[in-house]
Amino acid sequence: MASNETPRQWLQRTARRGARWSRLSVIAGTLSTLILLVQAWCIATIAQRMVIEGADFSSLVVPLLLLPPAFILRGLMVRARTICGARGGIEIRQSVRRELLERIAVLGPLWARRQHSATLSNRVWDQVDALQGFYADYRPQMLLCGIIPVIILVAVAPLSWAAALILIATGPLIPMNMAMVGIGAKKRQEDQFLEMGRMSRHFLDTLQGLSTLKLFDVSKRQAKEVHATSEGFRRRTMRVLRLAFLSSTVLEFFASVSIALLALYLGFVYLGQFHFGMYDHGINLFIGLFILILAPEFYQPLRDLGVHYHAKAEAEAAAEDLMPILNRRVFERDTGQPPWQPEGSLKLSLEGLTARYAGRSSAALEDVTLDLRANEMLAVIGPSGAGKSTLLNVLMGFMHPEAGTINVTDGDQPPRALTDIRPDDWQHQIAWVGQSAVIVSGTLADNLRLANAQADDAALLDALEQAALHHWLAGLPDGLETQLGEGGRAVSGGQARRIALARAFLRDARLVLLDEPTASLDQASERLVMEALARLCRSRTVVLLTHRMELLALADRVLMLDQGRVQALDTLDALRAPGGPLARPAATDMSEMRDV
Amino acid sequence: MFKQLLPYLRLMKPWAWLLGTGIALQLIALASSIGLMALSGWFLSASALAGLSIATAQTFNYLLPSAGVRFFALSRTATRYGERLVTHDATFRLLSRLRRHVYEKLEPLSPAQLQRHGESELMTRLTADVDALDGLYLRVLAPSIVALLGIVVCGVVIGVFAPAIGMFAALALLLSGLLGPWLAWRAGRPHSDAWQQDNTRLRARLLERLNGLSELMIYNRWQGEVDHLIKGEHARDAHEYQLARQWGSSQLLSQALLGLTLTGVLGMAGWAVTHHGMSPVLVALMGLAVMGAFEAIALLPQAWQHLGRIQRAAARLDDIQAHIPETDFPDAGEQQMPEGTRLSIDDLSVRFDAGVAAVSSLSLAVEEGEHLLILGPSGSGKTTLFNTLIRFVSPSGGSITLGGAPLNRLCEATLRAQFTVAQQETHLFAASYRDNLTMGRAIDDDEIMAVLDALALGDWLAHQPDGLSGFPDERGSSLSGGQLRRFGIARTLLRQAPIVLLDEPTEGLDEATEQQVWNTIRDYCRGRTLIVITHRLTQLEYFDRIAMFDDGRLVEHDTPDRLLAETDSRLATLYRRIDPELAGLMRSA
Repeated sequence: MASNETPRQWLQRTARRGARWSRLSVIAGTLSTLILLVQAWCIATIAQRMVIEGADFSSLVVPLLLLPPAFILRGLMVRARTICGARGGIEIRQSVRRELLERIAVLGPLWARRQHSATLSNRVWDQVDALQGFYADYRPQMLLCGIIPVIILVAVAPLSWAAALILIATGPLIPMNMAMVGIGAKKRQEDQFLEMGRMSRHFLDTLQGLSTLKLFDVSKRQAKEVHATSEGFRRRTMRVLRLAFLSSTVLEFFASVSIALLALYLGFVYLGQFHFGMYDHGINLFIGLFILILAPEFYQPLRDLGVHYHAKAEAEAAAEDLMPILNRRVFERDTGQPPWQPEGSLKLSLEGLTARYAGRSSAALEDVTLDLRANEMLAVIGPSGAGKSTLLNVLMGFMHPEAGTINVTDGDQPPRALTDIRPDDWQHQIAWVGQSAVIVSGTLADNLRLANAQADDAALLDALEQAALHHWLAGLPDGLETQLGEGGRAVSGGQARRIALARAFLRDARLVLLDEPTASLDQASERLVMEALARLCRSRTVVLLTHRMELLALADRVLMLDQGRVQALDTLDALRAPGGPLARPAATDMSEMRDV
Repeated sequence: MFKQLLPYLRLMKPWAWLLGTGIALQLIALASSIGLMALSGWFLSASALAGLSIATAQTFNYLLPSAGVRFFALSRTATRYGERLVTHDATFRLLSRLRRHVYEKLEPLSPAQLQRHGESELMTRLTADVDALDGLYLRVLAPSIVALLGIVVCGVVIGVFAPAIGMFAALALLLSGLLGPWLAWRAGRPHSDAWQQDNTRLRARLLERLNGLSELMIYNRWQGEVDHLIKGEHARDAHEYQLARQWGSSQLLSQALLGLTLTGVLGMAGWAVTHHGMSPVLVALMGLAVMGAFEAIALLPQAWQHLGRIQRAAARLDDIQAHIPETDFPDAGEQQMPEGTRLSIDDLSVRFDAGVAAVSSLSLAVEEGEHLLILGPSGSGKTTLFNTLIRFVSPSGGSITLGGAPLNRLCEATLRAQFTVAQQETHLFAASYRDNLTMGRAIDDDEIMAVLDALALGDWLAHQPDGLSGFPDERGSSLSGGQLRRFGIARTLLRQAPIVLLDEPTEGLDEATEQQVWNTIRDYCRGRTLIVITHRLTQLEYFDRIAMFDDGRLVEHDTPDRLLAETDSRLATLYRRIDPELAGLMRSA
């Protein structure tokens, strides 16, 4: 888990997860080359018997009968290679994806939100899929590049050392030449890959902004722009490709030249012009053809590798995106605390609480000291960036303060530090209604039982009534068993918010945290949600974040935060009194209407 | 089955010569390859035969064949390089044309309808589809033609010496190249479709769950979600695995058929030598020619695989065009010019595909320079009315006139020039902030800075290292949600048009900023018609008139004073429904 690991090292390390299949894939590829030897033997034998020995047709029967099974066997090996490669890639992907998803829980929702859910889901989904080509094709092929040429050399060397020498001489030259042409070419291929991605993104960006382009009356003109951008891309890419193709041309050149050299060398040996490069048994037509048939295969693995090059570039780009998630260090919390199960109302006292987001110089919360009384509803207000969400995240245990303490008092029990409570026990006492409520695919009952798996149907119905959803329920064809979410009944934003509220009722938690529970609701839904909130908060300790004055009126006290510091903490009336921080000119004009 | 591909084939016309050159070069490269192997095989056999006696060895003319071998070796290399350059250049030229073609096809479609089809997902898929279509020439057409011609070349090379064997070789090669891939292509379709479906569903689900991560973790349900997603992935990957199996089997079939072809050719050649006196040196030539042609045939399976992908992409593009209506605009010469900017909406109805009316029987006039606030719960038809005004959707009944001219008699340029609009979502292009604000017009920086300052974005801009020349980062994370909305308003206000339409301009802003944004909007809209949509009771007194919407209908419209004074107006009723405690608070304020 070294932090300075390169994407390539990560790809290698991760390959172990599908090593079994990758190995089988390589074995199949190796066997397929061995079968090729049989095929070459058959063809060379037929020519030898026909041309040199002038033998009868019956002497061809054995090689002719051997050829089809050899091809079928080779086909079977190719099939095995394809299947094992795909299987290995799939298994590695599944394992990486599971690790990522589990990692997300460890890193926490706070971290996840900073990544933007669309970016994060792109990584977990598309970037992991982008590993397939590398593990299914590129990596096995890379290993075969080290095996197949050796097999061919081993087969050729005992027949003619000169032929083996031609292969050896051109063989190592290939990687060397490729490196020389080169060092630049690899970089250029990567550049080209980048350009390609940029091009796609530009087009996507244009399509996604189509309605904006129309509104500004530039959408017609944009067609030319699309063409021009694409042409620019072509010119840049072709410049890159003119050089990049040289490296594959070098390979092609050596493959062709060595075949030509072999053919000429062998021909001149037959004609008695050359007398070197062979052993005592000499070289007959069989040996010559056998070598000639094998020669192209000597270069084939490298040529195939080039075909899969883009898979490698894609996987390395993906690895670069995935590694920061997988290798990120996290704050490990000890979990050895004694169990905790509060009986009474909760009282919280925060002292000198300071919290900071990674990589930020200014603290998100600075030296916050306050008491949260039992069964109190505390509203938190302040401009965006004041530290409201940070406070909630600290209370939920998703963020760890860098200084200060939170003490929790359960009824008449002695206070206990939050760090001495197991995260699970603590979170079990929290009910949360956020800006977007989760609806999981399943029945309405499943959705409600998220909060309390043991709740019976009567409790569910009661919670729905509390959350003002009983009228909606009455209209559902299957009542509690109605399917929601994917493929089920659509749930509006207001309904989802009230389902989240019903969960909070079911949870019967001591601490209720509310984050803008009425944002972007229409008036009717907002009304119902507010009424439900008033009921929910009756005998619980509540922290409520809001921008909206109408919700403040429900609160016992209001905490004003600004730039992470407590600016004021008092009742709404006191804050609004003349001279108070929320005081306003005693106007009766309608600008005050919005405060209703 | 290939009809969908015709328009794309037609796109290639202007570059026919270039595409033809590419194919010709590929064919020469392939012929050189076959020639190299076949000639080498013949040369070995012939020289081995000649070498049997010293006399024949000395008279054997090796100059021509050895020159031929060297020629083929070099021509194979050179044409391969040329072929790659030409085919790629041609592909990229087509790509430019193709993107423009697709863009021009999509541009006239109703954007509101596109949005209803899940714009973001659709566009992502579309881009992938266009990328797939790019491969039509390079991956499908060229290799197929080359393989077919290569088979012919192989048949001819053999047929020159033995017509029957040549014919057999060509037909058998054709069969082995086509049968396996074709079967895989057919059998694979249901799996590809199922994979696509599973994939789209799982991606959407993952995104949804990541958005609710906090809640799922509080309720200890994330692990369950992970298990569910992985289970779904296993189901999706099972299809992928099936595809790999079919693919492997088709390769097996091709190999087996190739084996039979080679055996057949060698057997027939052997028979011809022993029974019909054919020269034995041709046996190796024929065998190696068949093996050389494998190279071309090996391209066919891939071509078939791509063909499937390309057909699906083309079908999806057709599908979008078929299901989303186009907006027709008259030509500039035929339009009726508006006189003034009075908007008059008469008995307007808008219905979407499902038959649900989003707006029904709406009549409303907006005078020149009037400031109108449209209030109503979400889903009451406010945004649909906006979309109808800017002709993103077409009305199913009634009419709208602008300055006396029916809206659908204005040409697009005239219509667009009348309105400047901020939609709920602000799209930030991958261009500089300046370009994002000016949208292709010349506006000087002072003017831009002024509007950004007025919308409380001055601080944000001061923190951008490159100022207005900076680029939003690729994930759009350089502006928060509230900032992005204000950025969108800035862009809208910078555009000079007589009618300003703003959809929920201050949602998600804190109070102080909200107040500032409202002041700015009013400043910039003095003397222009302003129509604002909101679902909050806010800033009422600053508007000349308020229109209350509910369930697609206009419930009431009048000046704010009069509506509030009227005890049974919807607006006044809304106020009365508010909690007495809050009402008390209001009085105390």
